[in-house]
Amino acid sequence: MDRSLTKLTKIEAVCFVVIIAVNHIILNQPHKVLSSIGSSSLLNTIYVSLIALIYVIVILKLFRNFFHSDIIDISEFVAGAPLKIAVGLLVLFYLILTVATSLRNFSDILYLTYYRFNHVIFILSFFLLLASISNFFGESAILKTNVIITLIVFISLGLNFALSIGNMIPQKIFPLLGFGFTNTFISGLTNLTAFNGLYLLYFIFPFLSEPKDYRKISFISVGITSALLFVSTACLLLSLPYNISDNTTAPIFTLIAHSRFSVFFQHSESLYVFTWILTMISYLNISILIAIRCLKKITKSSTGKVFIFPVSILIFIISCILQNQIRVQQFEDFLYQYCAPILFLFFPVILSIANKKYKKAKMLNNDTT
Amino acid sequence: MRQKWKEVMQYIYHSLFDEPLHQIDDFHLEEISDSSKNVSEGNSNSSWKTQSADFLENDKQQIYSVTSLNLEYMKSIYNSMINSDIEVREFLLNARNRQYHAFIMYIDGMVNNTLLNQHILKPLMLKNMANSYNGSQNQVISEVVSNNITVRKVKKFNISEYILSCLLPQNSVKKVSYFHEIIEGINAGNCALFVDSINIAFCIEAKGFEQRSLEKPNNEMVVRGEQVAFTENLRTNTSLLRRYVNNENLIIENMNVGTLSKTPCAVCYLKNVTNDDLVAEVKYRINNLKIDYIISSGTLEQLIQDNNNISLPQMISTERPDKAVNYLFEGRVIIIVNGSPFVLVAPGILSDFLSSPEDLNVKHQYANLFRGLRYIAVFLTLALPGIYMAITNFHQELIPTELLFAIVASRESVPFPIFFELLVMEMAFELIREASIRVPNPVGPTLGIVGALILGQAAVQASIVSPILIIIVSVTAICSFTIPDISLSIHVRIIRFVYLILGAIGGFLGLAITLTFHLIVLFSMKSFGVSYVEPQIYPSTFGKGLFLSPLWKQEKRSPYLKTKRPLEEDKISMNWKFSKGDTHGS
Repeated sequence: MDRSLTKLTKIEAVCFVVIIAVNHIILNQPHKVLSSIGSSSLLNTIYVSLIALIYVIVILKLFRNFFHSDIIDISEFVAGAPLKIAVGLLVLFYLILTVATSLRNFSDILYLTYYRFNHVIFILSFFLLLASISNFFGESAILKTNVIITLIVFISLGLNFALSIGNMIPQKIFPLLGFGFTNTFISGLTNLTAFNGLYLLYFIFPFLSEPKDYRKISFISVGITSALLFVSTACLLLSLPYNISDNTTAPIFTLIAHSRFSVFFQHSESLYVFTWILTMISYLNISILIAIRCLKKITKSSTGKVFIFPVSILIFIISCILQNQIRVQQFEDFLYQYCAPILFLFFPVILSIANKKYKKAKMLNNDTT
Repeated sequence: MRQKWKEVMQYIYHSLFDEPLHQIDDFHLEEISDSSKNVSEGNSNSSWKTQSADFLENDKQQIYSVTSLNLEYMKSIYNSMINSDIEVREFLLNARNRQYHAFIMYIDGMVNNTLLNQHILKPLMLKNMANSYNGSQNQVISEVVSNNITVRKVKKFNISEYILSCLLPQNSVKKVSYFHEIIEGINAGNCALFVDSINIAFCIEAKGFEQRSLEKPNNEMVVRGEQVAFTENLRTNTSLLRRYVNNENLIIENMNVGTLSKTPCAVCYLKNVTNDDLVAEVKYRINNLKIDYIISSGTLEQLIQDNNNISLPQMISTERPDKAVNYLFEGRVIIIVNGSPFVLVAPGILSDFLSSPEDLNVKHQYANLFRGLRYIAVFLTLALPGIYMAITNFHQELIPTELLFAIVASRESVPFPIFFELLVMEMAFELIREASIRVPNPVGPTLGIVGALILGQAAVQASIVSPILIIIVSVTAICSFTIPDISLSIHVRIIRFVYLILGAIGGFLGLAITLTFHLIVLFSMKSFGVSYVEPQIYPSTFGKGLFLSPLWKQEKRSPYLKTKRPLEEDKISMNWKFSKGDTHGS
């Protein structure tokens, strides 16, 4: 166990996991759910939430022998340095690609809504410069700032829900099975990508100041992510007409733009955008932080500061390669439909092997004594 | 060759220490060559060490037993030929009917002349029954006679003991053996007494310089609360603390800072409350200052705080004894610097700089209302110009339509962009604020009127700025005055320009980036090992951080201080109300 690492309290750990889910929800997740399933979206969110919960229970069970270790350490335990490097690079690859696509997607939304006279690269560099500098201030500062930002975003999303209640038409949940049973329960499984942030559960152990809180943190994170997904999907499904929610680039933004805060303040959407920018910054900071930890482990480097700028530049380059929103969507689909499942299934396999090896070693130990 | 070498050394010494060339003599040459060697080796600290070695060498000199030598030495040390306020009074000291050459030395204006004449010179010089007694020089302690042989146990006459116990009716007299000790005493306002035939000197407490009496606080005023402020005198300040604390566990440790100034400082803490590590850290930092002089607590603050690159204050500075004592009881350490009416409190966290001394004297509801207002004021001071900039440039949809029309109409005749307008007005306001501090009192109101006219009416009439902008700048200015701590206020004033510029460049994106960066900086900061912001978001500090709970509910000391006494109240502090034996309530 690395003693030099920053330790997380319970609330910090939950926010650490949830911020990624929040980002996906703000960007496009509820829209994806809605467009693929239709009126059965709420049912689907409950369904995928239950599956995510079962997945977390499985992870908890598999991790029971490996307190204080993350998936990279466990890979090393299973097959030594080659697997450790392979897993580390896989995580790094996935992380950088997801961050780059999310950043590009969000920057494009900002560009289209507010900064048409600027180039999108200007927005991208704004984000990445801050994320790089922030990482020089240390992990602790980033993780604590994340708590504040997550709370601000929760409040803004709650307010959004409260404002939308007046416009909601409950009858829109019918037909209950939307585009059909298969779409809702079989192909609808792709909506598990909303729980993408749960991959952090494989890394969070060494971060925790109290490892016994792991179980609570996992369940709370799944609970919050499910609630956020449900609320956001409900807002979109019940408030906006289907043709609007299906044809806009940022449906939640459109939803807020249609909400009336009061007669005096008619359009408060830019305030929400402000909170989303905060979320994106925090997401970027945390992603770079994890990438640096991975790189530190792979290279066995004592300091991670040397990796900050290379990682940021890599994210920047990939963001620039994705030229427009359509490319981003295509790439995201590829990433979440093919890469994410591999990652989420591959890790439990490693854990299972590790458990078997651990049991064997334990038995051998008992025999010798 | 030697001359040339000396010239080179003189040049190096001059360039290193920025001193006139003529001060170099042969005596210094060896040390200078050492120092230049050290500097060339890249040891920047060594030059300071070599420079200070000169003083340390003098410090080691022991006092001679011959008065004339002592006199010569002291005169040369104090340059008495050119120093007008160094007084030396030579006289004959009468003791046991014998006379000794003696002299006293003091700094005119720093000693009490009546005390000097009546209680030092008079008993030493005048003959009286006590010092004229011509008894046996050696005091017989016991006497035994056996076989016609008398064995006497005698105590030898000791002139220094005799002077100390019989001739100096003073409450504070110290015997010292080294010159540096007696010099320190003279510099502090004491009187030095040298007597022939003994190799010690007496440092006699005779301070009597003019000093300010206790006055009302000028910068931290309250409606309800004590109306006393610290003064420039260290002892007066420590006595104020003693009066308030009224407990034997209050420790006041003295230490001197500065090789040249040897400024007396006091580290104060409650022995049974304050965390030992905190005390040790404060003392360690003060004791490890390699500096020639400090002149105020502000200087010391900069030298011992954790991070000097960030403009946020990291130690509390207060002129109010009640506020200082409150922190003392909480488990913090107070540092007093002689000559400064502001004491320092360590550690200091963000909410401390936003709390007013008034908060302690009023009910928690009032205090929380005021605190809430202050937090809003800080936010507005920081972000209002930036928000205005961002909304008018990027997010106009946030402005209600009627107001938007009003703003557009008011800006019709203004030729400048909003950013320029705002920047000019903010700069103008900062200039007026700076000028108002410097101007003499009678001119003050005039400046206010001129400022108001120029900033307000004239600027609008001349179409340099729009009326709405005057409101923005005025609200920002008023809000900045509500911040209780001057250092935090200055920090906020500086950072608001960053918010303004980034708001102008990127709208809410710029503001969000600035806010996040500001938060990260805040969270990365520490003051004496305590996180600067974190304690305020701990659930355990609710009621003692950002907002106050009722006094009876503030049972625990702040957990981040890790004090020796975690509780400051009983579970039921208002025992009169809930005691079982109480029959009044029933």
